[in-house]
Amino acid sequence: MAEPTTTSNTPGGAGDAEPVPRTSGPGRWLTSAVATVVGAAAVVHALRMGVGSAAEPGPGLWPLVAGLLLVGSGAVSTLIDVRASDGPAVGINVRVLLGISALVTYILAFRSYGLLLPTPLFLLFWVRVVAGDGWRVAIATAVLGTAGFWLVFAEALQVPLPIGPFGL
Amino acid sequence: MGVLDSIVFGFSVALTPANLLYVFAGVLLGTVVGVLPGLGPTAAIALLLPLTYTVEPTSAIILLAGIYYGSMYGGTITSVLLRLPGEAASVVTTFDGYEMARQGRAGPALSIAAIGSFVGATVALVGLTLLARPLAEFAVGFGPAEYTALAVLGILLVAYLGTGSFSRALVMAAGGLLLATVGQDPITGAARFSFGSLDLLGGLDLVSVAMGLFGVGELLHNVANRHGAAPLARVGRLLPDRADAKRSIAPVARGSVLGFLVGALPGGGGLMGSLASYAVEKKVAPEPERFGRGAIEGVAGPETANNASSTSAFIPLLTLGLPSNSVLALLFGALLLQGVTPGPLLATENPEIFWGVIASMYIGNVMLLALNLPLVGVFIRLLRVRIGVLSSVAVLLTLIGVYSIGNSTFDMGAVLAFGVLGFLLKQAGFEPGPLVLAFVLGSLLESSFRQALLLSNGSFGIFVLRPVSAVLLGVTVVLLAVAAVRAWRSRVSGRRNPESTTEGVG
Repeated sequence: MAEPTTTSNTPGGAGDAEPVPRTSGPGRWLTSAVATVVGAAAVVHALRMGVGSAAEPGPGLWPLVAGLLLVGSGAVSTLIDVRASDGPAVGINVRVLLGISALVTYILAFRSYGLLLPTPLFLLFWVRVVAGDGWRVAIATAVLGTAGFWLVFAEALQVPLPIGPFGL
Repeated sequence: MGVLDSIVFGFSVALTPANLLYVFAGVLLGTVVGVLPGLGPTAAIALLLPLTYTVEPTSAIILLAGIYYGSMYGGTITSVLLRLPGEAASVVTTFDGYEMARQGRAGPALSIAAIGSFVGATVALVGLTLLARPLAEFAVGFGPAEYTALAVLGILLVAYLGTGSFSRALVMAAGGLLLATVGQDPITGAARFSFGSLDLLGGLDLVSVAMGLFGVGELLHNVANRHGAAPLARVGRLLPDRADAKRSIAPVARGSVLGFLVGALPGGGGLMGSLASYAVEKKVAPEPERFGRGAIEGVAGPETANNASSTSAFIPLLTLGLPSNSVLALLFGALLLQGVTPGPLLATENPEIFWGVIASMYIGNVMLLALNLPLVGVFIRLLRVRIGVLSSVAVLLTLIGVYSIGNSTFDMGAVLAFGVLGFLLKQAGFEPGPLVLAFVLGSLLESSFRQALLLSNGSFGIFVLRPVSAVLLGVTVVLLAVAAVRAWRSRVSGRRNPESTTEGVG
């Protein structure tokens, strides 16, 4: 997860649904390797749960099958990706990190302060900072978006939303 | 009830004012998400899954199905005008459709695509209407062994026919099967992979998994890879001239039949149909060199096939309970959430869903034809919506939506966790489709596998001694062998020619 994703997104040649950035870093095989390890852990866990016999399958039998499948396909995929001369990049950039942090903060804030306070702040931050659009668009989204969410979830669907310190 | 009575009954369900509204909302929303780059039908349906808790099953499926086939129409618009497929199945349309637009013939490309889509979908619907009942009756005799074989083949075909590499798709499918085992063992009740958490003991929710992987993951992916504004082609005159119309008749006819056949196979809906049609049209054309330079046949055939196949993809879902792509996996999940198990018994136990949805699709396609031709200009304006506005509102809609189901902030966290996972997987070139499909089919697969073993007293012979499951497993083995041979061949040629990449075959 090193290289920032390139943002050259002119639609590629015929057949390129979505141009995937390419690199020769470890990102291309790392994911398959992680999947293999997860599969191996599942196999160990499944054996501990008790596989039983074919006539009387235990709780671990099916997780064992799924785990073995993951180990097998993960290992093959890792080998293929290590040999390949290039592959897709595992890229993560500042925008996405900011976006994910904003979402985590939003969930925590939503739990304590309800919908009306965190929502406009989140929308403002996402549109202006994460997506990089202008202030006017950001303010309009924050105001209209919050009003929309309130109308749909609190008024129309009557969802019991968490209530913040100011009774909002 | 004969077929005629059944479909009349279906229309009586679909023509109620409420359901008409759901069809209309579905196809309109579908067209919109088809046009909006970066918000495909899968993401849109995932975002709307919570809604299915609040409305009747029939209306919910009518709405979600409308989004699916509506997006096939909408995706064409951006393919032709921007060379940007709004959803995967429209990729093929970019080859000749965008060329036509550059030559000032965007209007005819769009209108022939809409007309072809309508014809293809209607032909496929007639096929669906006639075939669904007999197929379901054939499948009523299926036991656990057949279901096991069918689910295995279904997951494998989706991995096999998908766009990415086969081994990666298998990794995703295995991951989905494993995720499906989280929670209580369905037979003994033992806790599996719950790590002492009460929230995990109940199992992972399809809604959280799908909304995270498809919804939030997709949105984060869009934020990371922003699309720059591309020059928009002018639409010009709308209707095709006589020569174009004449050239389109045969491709539309062939596309309808081909799309229907390909779509009825598991894994065949959408993209496969349009790819197959493009290949056929190029082969039978008297001047194949026109293809890629604005040949109207290259738009008419694939666009027809793509709608025909996405319609006939409902056949395995409604008759066998086998979703054939990730969108239909979500529809399958939506039905399960409502306590309805799609399968051979659906037609007899829930005829209002079975026939109501089929009838609503006839109506929806008429609406789409009426919407698309005159309103192209309006839909194009949607392209001006900023990605920031779209993604911020959509991502919050997902989080608050999932909260509204169980009033639990744990679910919001789960959606975000799957969203981050989906984003990372997508960045690394793994498509989440097979994972969600395997996740949906996982518990069905496990319980039929174990029931079959209980029936046979632990003998695996039950899977090969019963004719239907033997045939299905035979096909599975052949497919795996073909994939292995192809991978081996490409490695051999890769060694001879080290510049080439093995991606897409492995």
